[in-house]
Amino acid sequence: MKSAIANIRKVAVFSLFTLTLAGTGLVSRANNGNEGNKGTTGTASANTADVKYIADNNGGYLFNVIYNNISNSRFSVIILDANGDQLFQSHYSDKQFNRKFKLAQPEEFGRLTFIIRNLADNTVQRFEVDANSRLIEDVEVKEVK
Amino acid sequence: MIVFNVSYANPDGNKFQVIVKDQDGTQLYQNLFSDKAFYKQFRLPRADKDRLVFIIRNGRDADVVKTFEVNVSSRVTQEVSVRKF
Repeated sequence: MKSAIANIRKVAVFSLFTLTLAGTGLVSRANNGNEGNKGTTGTASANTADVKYIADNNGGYLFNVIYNNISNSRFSVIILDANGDQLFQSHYSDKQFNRKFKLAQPEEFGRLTFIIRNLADNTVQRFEVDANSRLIEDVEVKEVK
Repeated sequence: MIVFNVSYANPDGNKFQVIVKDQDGTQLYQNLFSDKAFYKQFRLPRADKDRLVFIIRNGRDADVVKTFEVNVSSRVTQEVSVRKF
């Protein structure tokens, strides 16, 4: 039973998120360097992470996760939904981590949290992603002669 | 709501009517005034496509008729923000 639940969970995780392998960066990394250290907890680390939203013309949501893992440590990438439920988790040890994550069910997307945890020095970097829809009405009034 | 500012110069202070009709000719508003410098704001509910007619009638001169077409187009935009904390 426990294993069945675990399997269902695993399937749910992979159906919610599709990991796309990072090719050459679609979005070049900005703000690399010092800014990445803001918000880290644990011991001071030069390892810096960044999460960027990439606009998808097909109405989807693509996120570029970059982790400058200079110490070549093992780290985890965790993605949580608005309720704190885990959508994705995986471990890596890439020195220059650069992957894109595509949200498979964009219609349910309100808030996401990306957590990058360095397992060697236990530093945690959290990124919160919020999506807001706005209805814009263009009203045109013209006089008819 | 769509706001229309209606002004009418009536230096003699004669009585006049202000009438507002929709595209079907249904009367939305009618009232009698005698202001010398008439100014009134009309707040009207908007539909996706509408036509509004404002008529000022003083009983002596030809009616002043102003017709307006209202077109509303809607679109949804998504804003995504990423915040590090």
